[in-house]
Amino acid sequence: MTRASGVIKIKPYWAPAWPVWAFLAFAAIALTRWLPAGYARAAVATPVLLTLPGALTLGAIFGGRRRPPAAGFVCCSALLSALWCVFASLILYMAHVLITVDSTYWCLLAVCFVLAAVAHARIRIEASLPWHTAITPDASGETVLPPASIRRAGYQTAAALAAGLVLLGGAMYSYDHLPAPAPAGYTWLSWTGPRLTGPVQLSAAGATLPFEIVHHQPGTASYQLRASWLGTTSNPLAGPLPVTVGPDGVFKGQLTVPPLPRGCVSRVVVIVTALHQLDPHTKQPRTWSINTDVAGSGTVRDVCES
Amino acid sequence: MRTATYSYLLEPPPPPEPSLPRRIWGSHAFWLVTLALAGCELAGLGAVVNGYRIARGTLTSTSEFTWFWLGMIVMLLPVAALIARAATPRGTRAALLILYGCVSYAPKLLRDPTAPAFHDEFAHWRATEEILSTGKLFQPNTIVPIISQYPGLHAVTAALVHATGLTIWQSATALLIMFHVMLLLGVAALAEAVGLNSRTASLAALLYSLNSSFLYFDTQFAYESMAITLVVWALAMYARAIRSPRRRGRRTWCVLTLLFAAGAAVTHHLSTIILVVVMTLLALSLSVPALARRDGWRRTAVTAWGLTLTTAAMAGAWYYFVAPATLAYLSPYLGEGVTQLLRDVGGSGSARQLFGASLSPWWEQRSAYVVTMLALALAAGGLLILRSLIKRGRLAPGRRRALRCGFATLGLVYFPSTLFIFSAAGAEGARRSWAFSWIGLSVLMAPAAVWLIDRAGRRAVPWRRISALGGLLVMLAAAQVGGTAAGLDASYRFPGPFLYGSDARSDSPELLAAATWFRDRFGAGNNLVTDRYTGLVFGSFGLQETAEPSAGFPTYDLYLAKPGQAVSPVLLAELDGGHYTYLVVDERMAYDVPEIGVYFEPSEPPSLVASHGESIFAGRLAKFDTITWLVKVFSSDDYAVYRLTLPPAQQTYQHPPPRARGSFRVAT
Repeated sequence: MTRASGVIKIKPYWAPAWPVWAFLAFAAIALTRWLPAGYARAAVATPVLLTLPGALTLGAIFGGRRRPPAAGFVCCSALLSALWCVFASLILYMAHVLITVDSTYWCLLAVCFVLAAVAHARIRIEASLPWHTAITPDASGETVLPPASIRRAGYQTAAALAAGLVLLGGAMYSYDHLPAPAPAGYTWLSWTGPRLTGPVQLSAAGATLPFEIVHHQPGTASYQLRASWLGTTSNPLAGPLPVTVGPDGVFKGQLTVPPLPRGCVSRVVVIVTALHQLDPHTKQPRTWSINTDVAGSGTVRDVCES
Repeated sequence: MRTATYSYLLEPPPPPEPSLPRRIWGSHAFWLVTLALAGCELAGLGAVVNGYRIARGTLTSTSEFTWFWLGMIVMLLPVAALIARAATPRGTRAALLILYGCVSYAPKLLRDPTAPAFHDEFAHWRATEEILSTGKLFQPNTIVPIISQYPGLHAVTAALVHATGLTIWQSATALLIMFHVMLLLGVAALAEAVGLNSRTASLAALLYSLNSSFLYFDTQFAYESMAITLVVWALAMYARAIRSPRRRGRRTWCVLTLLFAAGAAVTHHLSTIILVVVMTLLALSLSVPALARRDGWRRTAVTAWGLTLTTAAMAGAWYYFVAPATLAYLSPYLGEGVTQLLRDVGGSGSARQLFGASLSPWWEQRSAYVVTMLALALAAGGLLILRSLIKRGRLAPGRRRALRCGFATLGLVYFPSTLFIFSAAGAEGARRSWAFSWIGLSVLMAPAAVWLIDRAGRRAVPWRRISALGGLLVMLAAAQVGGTAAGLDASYRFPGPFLYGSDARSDSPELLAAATWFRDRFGAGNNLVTDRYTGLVFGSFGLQETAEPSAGFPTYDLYLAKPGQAVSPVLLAELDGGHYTYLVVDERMAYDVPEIGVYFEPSEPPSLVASHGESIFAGRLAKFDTITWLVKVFSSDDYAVYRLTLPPAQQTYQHPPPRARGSFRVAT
């Protein structure tokens, strides 16, 4: 861009062509798939995705004249680009097309094509008009700066953005690498094996119920494992069995349940008690328990006495 | 060269800008200032990082507040001083705003660098995940149901994930940084569009950054963070359209206004409503004879009303065709707030105690009042300046006067809205309104701030000049502290150890592991009943559908039932009919009272949180282990997962229990 007598002149070789170049640059975003997903691809694709559709929109709306000043142009481009992502998703939804990588790309590409065509046509038409160089800014507060000032402002803006992002990245990196309290460990007890939706049907030989104890703690822990029949009073079923689990270790066990009388249902409970851990609330040894119903073969009876 | 009428106020216009940078650019002073600024920003960020480091390891220390605010102030004040300097070039001010926009995102970035932490963020994360996994918009969301009807933020985040291969959270962070910086620049653009010069406009942007939502609430991964930026830019374009003298120029700005307004309409309900209200206010002011009537006022008014009505029509169409639940969602907040405030004023209610359960230090709480006082003083000053300009004929009737007065009216809404902070139901709405009322307030206050700075700078005696300018900077620092303290509680702002019943500090590795175990074992999309805090993680990363407790579906009655007491058959039938298959219990409910005073949802019966400080669920959760229609499939230190076998079977267990012995085997 050159400036004479307070009037912006746009160089003819660039002015009509920039929407075409922008469109081609957007189309080339497909090539970023060759880059590994993540930061490398983001560094290339993000500026394209969040700048060009909006810039083309501004080109289509304003043509070659009275565009927002540099910083305003970039801001509007970024926001409009974000909005085109939204509108593209809505278009795809209304067209009953699934929103995928490909469909989003093609939809945005089509949008960019239309915008680029309109912007290009407007610039060409305006360039052919006799008054196209006599552009004066609006009396709406617009300030026209000389090219050197525009360039300087552009450099400063880019430097500020880069510095800001570097500072943010540095802060995140240092925060991430500072010593931090170790995350609290935990232990869990759960059934494993097939997913159950009702009582476990016991065969004549009984059944085997698999379970696991996951110990997600730095040290080794000792537990006592037992199982019981639940009722108004509970009777022991298995154990106690001492178990030791190492740091971040898993204990996989099986509870063998003997057969029940025909048609009877009972509940079995597996209980794990920590030998050296107290529950902070009850001040008792910490316990974990899981349960399930088991049924003897045959039709379930409403009342079943042994 | 300046072609615009300079809306400069009670001081002579600054020296021509283009000549100054050339002189400074080549001088050592520029580089010294740049280095000093970089050092301040670096040191400030270091202090913020240190504050967060302290916070994540301690529960009750207050030194994290000191470090944090020291850092924030060190980052803000040099930027403010350079922007307020009359000789700073316009482009440099934009660069400074961009820099401050970036570094002021640091508190939120460091708060949760790798995953959602705030309540609504979990919901928006899930909404984006649904788009990525199903390829469709408008998928139901059980954490915050209304957000499924406003997919703007989720759609753009999903598009960025598609294009870059980043995770949802990384893409969201990139977008939020962009929106945050654009918000600051948008306020400056708006202030310039209504006729303020670049210095005053940039100061308006900095003053806007003092509002309580700026650092945390409007930087979270939630739809309002995107929408507030769109609203500000829509208003800036609106002002441009109004002030554009030519028909073609005006049309182009109108198109941009409507594009941003359409973006807001599909992104956030409240922001769009407020945009329509502000546009209406401005259109009204552009129709008032004393403010606007001069040559061509009819055309301007027609443009203003046209834009307002078109925006209203877009918003109305979205509400009617896509998001009919919006009014039902929003109306309780305003209705209850007003009712409660009237009750409090009438003496029949009990007013909310400010900072009642806050973890903030006393000085942070006190400074929350400073920001209101400072805003009041500067707003009064801004009004006096407006009056003076009008009296002296420097703000003749016309578009500029109408816009200035319209935005001043918007800003003055802030002061009555602060009353709602005393109402429990209205406090949240009041805080949310400040992000919008401060748009007008900052435009109103900025000229007064410039006047104060220039008056202080003109003092002949150096120590008086330095004291006066220093005093202004101290007030700015206090307002920054207070503005943020008035917005969010410390548990939201700072990381730290697990805090039961806090939205932002209730997730833990154990909860995440439980949700992951559940998803791996039972798949996604199971309907389950749980409390608010467990539901956030199960409903987001766990990909489950959590129940929404309400008076009509009181799932908390499951927890409330005493041992041996039957659970309401109606509730069980509802659970069965709704295909709820699991119950997830946080066993700490029996011992702890939630920090935010809510176990399930804000609409739960107040009696759930007893005034004596003990949990109402004490002794009531162990019953789940013995109920016949609940089977305990998972038990960790604090969480238990039960399978619901509904409807309850009539059968009883074998009595007395069997005596047969089984055995344990170690699996191979």
